[in-house]
Parts: sequence; C-alpha cells; structure tokens
Amino acid sequence: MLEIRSLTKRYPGGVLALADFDLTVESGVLGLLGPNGAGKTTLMSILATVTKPTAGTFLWEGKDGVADPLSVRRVLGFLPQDFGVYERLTAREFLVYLGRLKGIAERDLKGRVGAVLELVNLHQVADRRLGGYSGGMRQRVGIAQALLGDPRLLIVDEPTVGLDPEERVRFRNLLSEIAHGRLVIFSTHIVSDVEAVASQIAVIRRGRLVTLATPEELLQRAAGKVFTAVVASDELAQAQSRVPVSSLIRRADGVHLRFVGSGEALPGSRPVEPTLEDAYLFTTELRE
Amino acid sequence: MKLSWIRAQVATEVKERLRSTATVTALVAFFILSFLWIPDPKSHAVSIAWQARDGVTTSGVYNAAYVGAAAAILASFFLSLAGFYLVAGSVRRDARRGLGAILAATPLSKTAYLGGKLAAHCAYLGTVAIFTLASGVAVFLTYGTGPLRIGELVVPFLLLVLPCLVFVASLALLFDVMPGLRGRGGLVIYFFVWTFLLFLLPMQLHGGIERTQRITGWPVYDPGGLALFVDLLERSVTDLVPGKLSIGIDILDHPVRRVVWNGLRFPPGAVLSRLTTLAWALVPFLLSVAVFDRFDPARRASRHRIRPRTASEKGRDELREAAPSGLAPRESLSSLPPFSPSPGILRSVLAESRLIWSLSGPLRWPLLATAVVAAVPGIPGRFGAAGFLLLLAPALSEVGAREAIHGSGGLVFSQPGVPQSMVLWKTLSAVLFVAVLSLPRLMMTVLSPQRALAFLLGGIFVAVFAIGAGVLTRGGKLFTGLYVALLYAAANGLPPLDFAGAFAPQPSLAVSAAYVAGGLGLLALAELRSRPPQ
Repeated sequence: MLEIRSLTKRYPGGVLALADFDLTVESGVLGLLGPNGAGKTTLMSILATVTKPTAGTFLWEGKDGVADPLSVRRVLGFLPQDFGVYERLTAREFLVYLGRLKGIAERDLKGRVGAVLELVNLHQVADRRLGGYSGGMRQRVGIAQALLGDPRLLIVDEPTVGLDPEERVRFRNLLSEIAHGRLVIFSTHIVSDVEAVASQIAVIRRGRLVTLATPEELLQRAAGKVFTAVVASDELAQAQSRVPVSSLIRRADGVHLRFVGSGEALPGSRPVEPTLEDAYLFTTELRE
Repeated sequence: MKLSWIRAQVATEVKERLRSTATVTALVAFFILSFLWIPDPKSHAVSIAWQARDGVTTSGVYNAAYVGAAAAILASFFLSLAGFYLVAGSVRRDARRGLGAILAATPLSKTAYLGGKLAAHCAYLGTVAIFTLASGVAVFLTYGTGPLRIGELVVPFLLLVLPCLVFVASLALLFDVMPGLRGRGGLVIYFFVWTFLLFLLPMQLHGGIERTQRITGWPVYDPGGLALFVDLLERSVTDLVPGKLSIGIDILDHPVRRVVWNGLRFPPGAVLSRLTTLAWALVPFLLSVAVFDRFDPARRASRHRIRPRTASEKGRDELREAAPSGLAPRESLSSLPPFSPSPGILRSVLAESRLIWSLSGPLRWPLLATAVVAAVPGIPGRFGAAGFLLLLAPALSEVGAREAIHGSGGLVFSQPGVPQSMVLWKTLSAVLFVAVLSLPRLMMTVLSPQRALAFLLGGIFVAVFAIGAGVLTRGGKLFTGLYVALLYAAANGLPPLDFAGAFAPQPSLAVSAAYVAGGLGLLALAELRSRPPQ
C-alpha cells in the first residue's frame, strides 16, 4: 500500500530531518512514535505532499507520490500538527470550502459536511464562527476536514492534542474503525494513544527508522528488560543517571522506580511485565 | 516603563521588519518615486512650482536646498502613508502568535507594552527614513548643481519627516488596538485619515489651501508638515503670489523657469511647530492605552456576541452555551453517503472566488453596491468606480498570503483540487472575483467599449497586483498602501496613473494594458519566489 524509499529531507541551514528513511506498510493503523524533533512531522508533511523531499520518494499503491502528488491527494485526508482556520467563517462554511477543493460535487457536499460535523459532534455549533471555538473544538474541525473526502490514506499528526480524555478515547475508536481497508498514519509521542489503536508501530529517532514492529513484538523484545526498584530520595539522581527510567512514584518507603536495562544496575531490582511505554523506551534508549 | 522591554522590543522589531520584503519594496518604490518627484530639470515636469508676480511658473534650480526640501516633503507624504502600512498590525500579530497571552501574564503594563511598540515603530521608521534620505542624495548626484551641502539635505528631513513619523507610529498603534479599525477595513480607512488628519485639516487650519494672504503665525496642528512647508516656502520666495503654489507632479507644455532658491529656513517658531507634533502624537498613544484590551480574549470575543435569542430558540441556546463534548459515539464513517470526488482547477478557482466573497464580510454589500453604481454614466459612475476600486483593496489584499497569515497551508495545499502553481490558482480566482463584480460596468460596452475594456483591464491589474504583492510580502498591508496611494493619485487626475480608465475623460487602453503587463511581471516574480509550502 505505502512504500517509502530512501526518503531524505535536509532543510535550508543544514538540519537533516530525515535520513534514508525506508518503510513499507499495508492497511491498518501505523503509529509513528518518536521524541520531539525525531522527524515525524517532516515525514508526514512529505507523505501529505505538502513538503518535497530532498531525495528519495514514496509509492502509494505503486504510484510515485513525489512525482505525481495529485494521485496521493485524491485519496488523502490530512490533519497537520498545527493548522489555522479562517476565524470569520463558520465551521460549516470552512468545511464546504475545503470540500470544494477536494472536488466533492455540490449535490453531495451539504450532506457530507453535515455528516462529518455529526461525526465529530459539532453539528449543534456548526454555524458559529470558528473565531469563537475552543482549541479542542478547532481540533475536531480539523479531524472533520480530514475525514471529509472519505480518505483511503489518513495522515494525522498529533491529533489528540487539545482533546479531553473522553474525546481522545472516542477519536482512537474512530481511527480503529476507519482503518479497515485503509491506511491511517498516526503520529504522537503519547504512547497510550498508539497502544490502543496501532496495528504497527514505527519508532523514529534522529530522522531514521529505529524499528517497525507490531505492539506485541515490541513488548516481546522488552520482556525481561524492565525492572522496578526502590531507592531513597537522595539516591534518585544517581539512579536516574545509571538507567533509563520510565516512571517513578514517591512512597513512604522511598521512590519506586520503573526502568529498562539490566536488573543488576540497581540493587534490589525485580523484573516486571513491560508496558508499551517501557518497550518504547527500551527501543529508543538501548537498542541504538 | 520597563526600559529593558522597550530595548528588546525595538531591537527585535527593527531587525525583523528591515529583513522583510515589504521594506525592500517600499524603499525601491521610494527610490523610483524620488526621480519622478524631482524629475530631470530639462523636462517640462515639475513637482514644486509657484506662480511669480510676472505670471510665469517658476521653480528652483536643483541645488542642495531645493533637493533637500523636495525630498523631505516627498518622504513626509510617502512614509506617513507607506510607513503606516509597514508598521500596522504589530499588536495583532502578537495576539495571533500567542505571544500576547504570554505577555499578558507578566507584570508588563499596557503603557509599557504599547510604549515599547511605539518606540519600535519610531526606530524602524526612522531607519527607513535614513534610507529615503539616501535617495535624495542620489537625486542630487544625478541632477544637482552646486556643492552638496549635507546640512541642507538633512535639516528638512529632521524637522519635517521625523515628527511626522512619530505621529504616524502612534496612529498605527491606535489602529492596531481599536476595535473596528484593526482589520483590513482599517487599512483602507487609514488612507482617508491620512488625507484628512495629516494634510487637509492642517492646511485648512492654517489659512486654507487657496489662501490669498500670507499667514503670520506658525501651524499649531500640522503632523504631516505640509502646512509649515507651504508657509516656509511662501516666506522664502519673495515674488511668489500667495495661493499660487503648486505641490504635486505637473507636466507643463512649456519649460519651467528655474531660479536660485535657498531652501527652507527654520526659525524657532517653526521648530516649535514641529515639536508640537510630538505632543499631538501623544493623543493617539494615550487613546491606544485607554482602549487596549491587553489580549484579554473575553474582551476580544465580545465583538462576536450572539444576538439575544427568542424564547423558541432558548432550547438550542442551552446546547450552544457550552462546547459539545466528545466525538459522536454512535456515528460511523460508513454511515456517510457515498460520493465520487472530481477535483479540478475550475472547481478550485470557483471555491476560492467564493471564499474571497465570504471573507470580505460586511464589505461585500458596499462592494456590490459600488459595482452597480459604477455602471451608471457620468459623475455617479465615476464615484461608483472609485468606491468599487477602493473596496477591492481590503477584499483582495490578503488573498495571496492568506495561508501564510492564518497557518492554513497544510490543510489547503494538501487538497487535490489545488494546482501546483498556487500563484496561478489565486490569480485566476481573484480575476474571476473582480470580473464578476465588474459585470454591471462591462455591460456599458454597448455605449463605450473602450471605457469598459479599460475598466476590466484595471480590475485584472488590481487582482494580479494583490496576488503578486501578497505572495511576495506574505501579507496584505503593502499592497493596500501602494494601491490606495495609486488610486488616490489616479482619481486626482494623473492620466498615466489611471489604470482602470475610470477618471480620465478619454480612457487609454494602452495605459491599462501597461499596468496589467507590470502586474504580470510582479506575478512572475511571485511565482519564482513562491517555494513549495512548508
């Protein structure tokens, strides 16, 4: 479905955002995980045909998306990380405008816009100006426009930012539902968001693909590498310098650490079942 | 006031603005204007002339005093107009970028914040003025006679231009914070404020434009410096007939008599008059401080309050009060009706044209009304055409830069209907918008095909100028400033500037076509400069 070949992006000034990036995926939800500045947004912008790569290309169902961006745009729904809206338009007017740019015929447009507004639960406020919308409501307008064209390739960059916990859960469910027969690329640094929906996870760091695996595979790789230990408060800094810590909780008996690596690193450590967050930390910190 | 904040503000804004395309464009425009304003002395063109007692049109030889005075009054006109458009929108930009909310949470007072902005505007405009002074030197080196006396070039600049810039900087702040003035409409309103507050009113208060007697006192209110300029010129030219002074480009059918004129002399009363302008500049500044909402979103949103609801609408009101939470759980994508999109440039151009109409907001209706009145023959038609051409400025000013301004590029440029050339797409959309609105006037074709065609070409010029300037400057202010100034000059009877053939008794298709050609050149530049959106 999607084949990325040696994609490289170097920005003016020399910053290398992507370096020889290769990836092949079929339908489902692909979670892109990586720290800030890893290259996730650059990759998504290129796949959304908004940015051109310095070198390399990607194929969508066999068609070159760099040479022929229109072939991708016809099937694309894109939600950028940061996007602006026209504050003097209502949500409905804004979606109608974007629907026209997607090529939706006038006879279908009204129904389509109404339906996606219902889907994101904004139909009651659809005729209010976007200038009066909260951040979460704007994000839902962004989600609505991404779904407007019935996309076969849905690229959503940090889509859950600004959504409340309930909205996040529902959005994740929506992604799972959409993914049948389509490819959803979902970028985030919130591991729990990916955990719930991703059929595959690509971990990116410094513009390179660290690994592509199913969540189960990532968990298996981290099995036996995650430990807990209790340290005194005044030993915490020293412990953190020795092992990558995935979480810590302060209790009466000291600080309960959860870390990845070797159990011998901290005295009194005992192995625990890894979570996806541990597996991600293991992948990025220890496998390089 | 926090001096460190002001220092930081000045340094940041001056640096950022000096690097902008808008500044470079304005400086190039001023350089060209300088040579039009102070034309080849062998030509029949003159911009400062007076009728001597013997009835002969007279002007000065191009010594340093003449060039200094002429360049200073030009800089005063130009920078008070273009300078406003260069600095306007600074507070709005802080609000849009989110910086305003951060600043609002600090102990920085409204006075300190706006004081910093005022200082930054003044520093930037002062820096630009230095560059315009260099244009005066260039003119002198090209056409000048006699020694290059720097003092005679610089003193009129210091006394005429700088106080004017302080006043304009202060006005720009007021326009930035005053509801109703801070939008695109405000940019057009400023033009009239500029005409009236800076030039017409001071002239009227100081004896009138057509006065027959010399005035003894000094101007008390004269932000633009024109009243003082006229006064000083009348005092320094002994054989000048009062009221027979002409300031503005004039092409005569005979050579101009040139006499040695020793330029403007500034006695203490004249200097005090210019210092008074600094005091007048406090008025818009203090008003700005009074009305500034300090980025309080509640006060900003109050402009968009929903009208009171009727009883039958109350139920729906309750739903609207709070944002509905969550994505609808029971809906699914498969429940959406099937459709088959067919994106294409025509559909996208139509969509963009309709968006230009929608985003014109309340200006739409006067735009439509003036478009209809422009079709009426005679004087009403001329007024209608002038109004229509003027209102095109706010309607089109941001079209070429809309995605850059609002950050909507990612959403828009990933759509299949948007062609590879964003410049072409925007231009076709803007031309379609103008052409449709020009239809009533074009129906005059039966009566005057030349006038109708010139108007259509003029409309196309406005569209391509707006898109080209918008793409190049990533904003709409410079286009608004230059275009409104051009329109004003055209409406005041300069045939070579009548790009739409709307004001001259006999419209010239060649002039209109030349403007379209120039606009297309600007578009080509914009196409070259427009990078793939990032």
